[in-house]
Amino acid sequence: MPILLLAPFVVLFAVFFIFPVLYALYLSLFVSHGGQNIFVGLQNYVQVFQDTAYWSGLLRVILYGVIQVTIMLIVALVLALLLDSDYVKGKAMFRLIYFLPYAVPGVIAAIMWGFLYAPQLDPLMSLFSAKHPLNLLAQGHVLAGIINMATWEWAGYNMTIYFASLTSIPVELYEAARLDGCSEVQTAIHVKVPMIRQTIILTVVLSIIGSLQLFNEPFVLASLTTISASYTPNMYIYNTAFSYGNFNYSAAMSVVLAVITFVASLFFLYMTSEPAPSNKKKVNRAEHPNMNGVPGEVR
Amino acid sequence: MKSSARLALVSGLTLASMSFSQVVAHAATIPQPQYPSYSKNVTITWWTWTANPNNVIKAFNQVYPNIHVVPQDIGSGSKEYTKLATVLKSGSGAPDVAQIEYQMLPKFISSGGLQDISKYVNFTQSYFPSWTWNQVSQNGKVYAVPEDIGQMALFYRTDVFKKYGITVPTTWQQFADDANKLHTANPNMYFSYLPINDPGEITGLLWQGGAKLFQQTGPNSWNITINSPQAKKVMNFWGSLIKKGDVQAVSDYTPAWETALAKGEYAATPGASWSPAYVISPYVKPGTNNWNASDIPQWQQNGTFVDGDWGGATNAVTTQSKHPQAAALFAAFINTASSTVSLSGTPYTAGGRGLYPADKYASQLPQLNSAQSDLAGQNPQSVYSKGAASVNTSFQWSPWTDYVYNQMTVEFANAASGKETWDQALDNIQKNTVAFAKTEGYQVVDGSAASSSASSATGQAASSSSHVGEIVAIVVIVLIVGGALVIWRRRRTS
Amino acid sequence: MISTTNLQRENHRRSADPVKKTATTILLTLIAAYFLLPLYWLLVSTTKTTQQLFNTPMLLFPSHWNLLSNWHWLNSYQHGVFWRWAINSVTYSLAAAVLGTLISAMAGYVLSMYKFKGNKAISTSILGALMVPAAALAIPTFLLVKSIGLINTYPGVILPMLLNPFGVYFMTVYIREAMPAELLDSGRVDGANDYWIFFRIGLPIINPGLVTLFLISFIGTWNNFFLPLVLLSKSQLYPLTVGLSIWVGNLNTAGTGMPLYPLIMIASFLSVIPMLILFGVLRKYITSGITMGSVKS
Repeated sequence: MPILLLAPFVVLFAVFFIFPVLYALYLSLFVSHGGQNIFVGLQNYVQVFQDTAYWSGLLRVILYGVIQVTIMLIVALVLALLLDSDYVKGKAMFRLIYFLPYAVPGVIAAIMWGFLYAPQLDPLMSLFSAKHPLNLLAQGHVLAGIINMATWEWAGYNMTIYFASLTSIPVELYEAARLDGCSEVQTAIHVKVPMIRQTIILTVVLSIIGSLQLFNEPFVLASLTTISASYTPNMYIYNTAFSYGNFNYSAAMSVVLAVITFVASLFFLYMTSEPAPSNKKKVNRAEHPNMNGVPGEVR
Repeated sequence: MKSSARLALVSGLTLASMSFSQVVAHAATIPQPQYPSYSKNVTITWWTWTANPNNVIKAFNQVYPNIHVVPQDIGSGSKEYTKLATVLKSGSGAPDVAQIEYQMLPKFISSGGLQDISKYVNFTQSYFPSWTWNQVSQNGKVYAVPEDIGQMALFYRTDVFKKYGITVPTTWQQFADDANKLHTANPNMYFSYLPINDPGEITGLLWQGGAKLFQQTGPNSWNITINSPQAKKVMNFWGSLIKKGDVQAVSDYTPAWETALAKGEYAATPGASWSPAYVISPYVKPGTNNWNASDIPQWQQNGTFVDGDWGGATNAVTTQSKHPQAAALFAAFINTASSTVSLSGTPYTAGGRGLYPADKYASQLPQLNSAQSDLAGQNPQSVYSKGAASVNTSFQWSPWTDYVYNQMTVEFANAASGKETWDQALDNIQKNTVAFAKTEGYQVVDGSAASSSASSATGQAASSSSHVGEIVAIVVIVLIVGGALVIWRRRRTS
Repeated sequence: MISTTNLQRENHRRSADPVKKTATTILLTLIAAYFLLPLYWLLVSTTKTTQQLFNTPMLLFPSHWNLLSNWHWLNSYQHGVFWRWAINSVTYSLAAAVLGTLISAMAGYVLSMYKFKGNKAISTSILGALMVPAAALAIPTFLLVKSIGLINTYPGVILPMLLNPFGVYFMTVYIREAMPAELLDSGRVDGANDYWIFFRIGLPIINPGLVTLFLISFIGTWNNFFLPLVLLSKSQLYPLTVGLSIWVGNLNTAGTGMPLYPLIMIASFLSVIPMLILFGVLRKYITSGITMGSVKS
């Protein structure tokens, strides 16, 4: 076995993944007072579980995840199905346009939408109500603003994944459906969607992980809104460490978030997996390049 | 006679040519301390976000040619503080001199990030208003030199006031009456706005209203009284104006707010001496600047005139500096020397830094004591001088300003949207800050405990129930999603 | 090899109802407008001064264009620091994409082509790593980079970016699909050693997968914000994303000089442009990896 081919990755993995995980666990067991590190056992974790700000941030990203992931993936799926149907000309152009926002850094997307949400500036926003224009940066609406922003950024990306999966469905299946008298819509729902089920599940899992990590958009919007330092768990972790200088508490919050993400992903994967191993098993093994997996990428 | 002739000459030259050398060469018009000499050849770094730092360094090098200064822009405000806290903790990478706003000094002092430079800079003490010197020192040690201040004033639009027959308010009661008068006459305009995302301005208003949020009682012990009666008076005042619709609750420095300013939707606003350059002139349509400055309204009709401060920064020397004397001399020089103080007071568009210098004598500078193009040609110097001399001197900041500001943003936004009362907002900030300070290892006396135990108890109950609410909500969502998945799985199995 | 060709798909086409066709096209065009609107607005905004931004209709070009003066301001502001950030972004993205892809391919090759003790363990931990939020690692990574003295250096940012568990996962799956196991044996029969086989035979075969992963990593690093934000405190080393967020943060502090809106607009536009071009030209490669994954033999 050519060990040298594997070595660089294993070293990197040990140094920049295994070690940080263990170090975070270690840090979370101490407090630092006046330069002194004091072992406190699980006290930081007790504090996390009593921390209203942490849990309301978590609730917020869960709410965000449920709404945003649903909307985004439905939009992506519908677009992919429409583009895979016979109804459209210029598919390549539409696909490129929908995919474009993925090329825009989240920071810049936040700046742009920050402007587009200003009711006095935006003719579209003032359409909603002449007297009290909808302000998506106002306190109660800012989550909706972020949901729209993230949908704009990622819908086309997921659409591309779905579309690629759809094009790999054997045509014979369509033909069979057509002979059975299925309409285009019925074919889409009963043939196409089940065929790319695995793909959909994978995008759901990756999107869940992404939404629990929500950071860039609220971080940039923070200077434009009343978004607090603990708006999302990730922002809270960042601010506790780097603004308040409390690395220990920050590490404890990181560990809790990681465990929750891990458990949620596993649970979802388990629940949506095939109950019993079946021998038909030629499941589409579409494995997807997804940005969410690149280290350091946080949404 | 002589000095006024020179003043005329200087302002003439400044107007005729904005070139750097002339500003420096002819600016020696304010009292100067004796600067000690420094002969070693050293290089120091300076974190600053202000415009044209190189002009300041050039002027400094005319007197101290051996001290080479490298300016670095790490970003302003919280961005810089986050980085500074990080590099201080990591043991390297901190600058020799850092620009730090007053409210953040206690944090960096108590985390051991700043050096005592009293022996290098005490000779400049008499050049600064005492309240600024109080804020750069702690327990007899001096950690920074004041750079600029933001004494508060009322800014108003002369055209609107004239059109609706409004007289400039001198008390907050008159302010409220005017607000109502304007909004009734023209419902499309607001008399003013309250920036609920800007705790700096709100704290300035609290300061002017006599609130004392923090008192240091020992090296590690603090008295915290954020929800004092004075603070509640100020916040309820603004809250009632917001409720009536006379004043808008808004987030400042956002496109929405900037457009409202540009379209002339506000008739007046409390602001700081730097506001004309950073709030008004960048956004109003060119040629329509009708803004003037006036004294900040008072809470008592015939009492002593009091003001608060919003903003302003200092130059501090970090503990990582290997040349503390050179660094301290730089901080002292640029904030007292005529050449550099005049650069501070010169608009950034003319090669200066666009600040209101903390130096007491700066008001004699022609740049400050003249008609201002950022206002409607008014000379606001009498307003600013009166304000600077009347700032409440006993106000103190705490080591947890960033935390307190975050809390203020959250709670004031809640109060403005009617989710809680302004009293509750202040009570919550008080309670959370006390808890936070304790976990950070400080000895804390809850200054509100005696006076308002009842209200803080209700605050506690409200907050713990909301905590329960969040956990219940999370559990419900998890159960629904999980249940749906379980059912789906069952169905597929059967 | 490929289950569905375009030709087959065309044959499958039915003559669709023209009303439905028009309705769908209109709907898709409206959605396209939604995706393009912010970018169009950004283009318009590069031609405005701060005052024009707030005083002129937001979707119309101003009567007097200031694109050129904004451009000059961008080039001179803080000695053209924008271009420094642009160079940094290119450096980080190239380094992370080239080296990260190679490292992932090498590891993926071993994990997919060889059976050895620990293979399963490594593969499983890679999958697990995908589920751990990056923020959980940020603080210890920062402390680690600091303690080995690499804070505020190029290697200090690039090294953590090289770790790409997803890339290894992707390459493992890809190589398993694209590379016949017999190749290894036949190469061995010819007396070539395993390294030679990988570099001379393996890499050319998996070339399309490499290109895909390279592009994805490049875009990912270009858009990355969190890691450089945590690891860097020297503005000379910032990538565009962090630098621009500093400019945004500078909007509300006295003394910073003129509001930087025009700079933020033109800089945002310029930093999006290379990605848009890359996309237009190479979209096939980016999506081909996705399609490849579902190709069955």
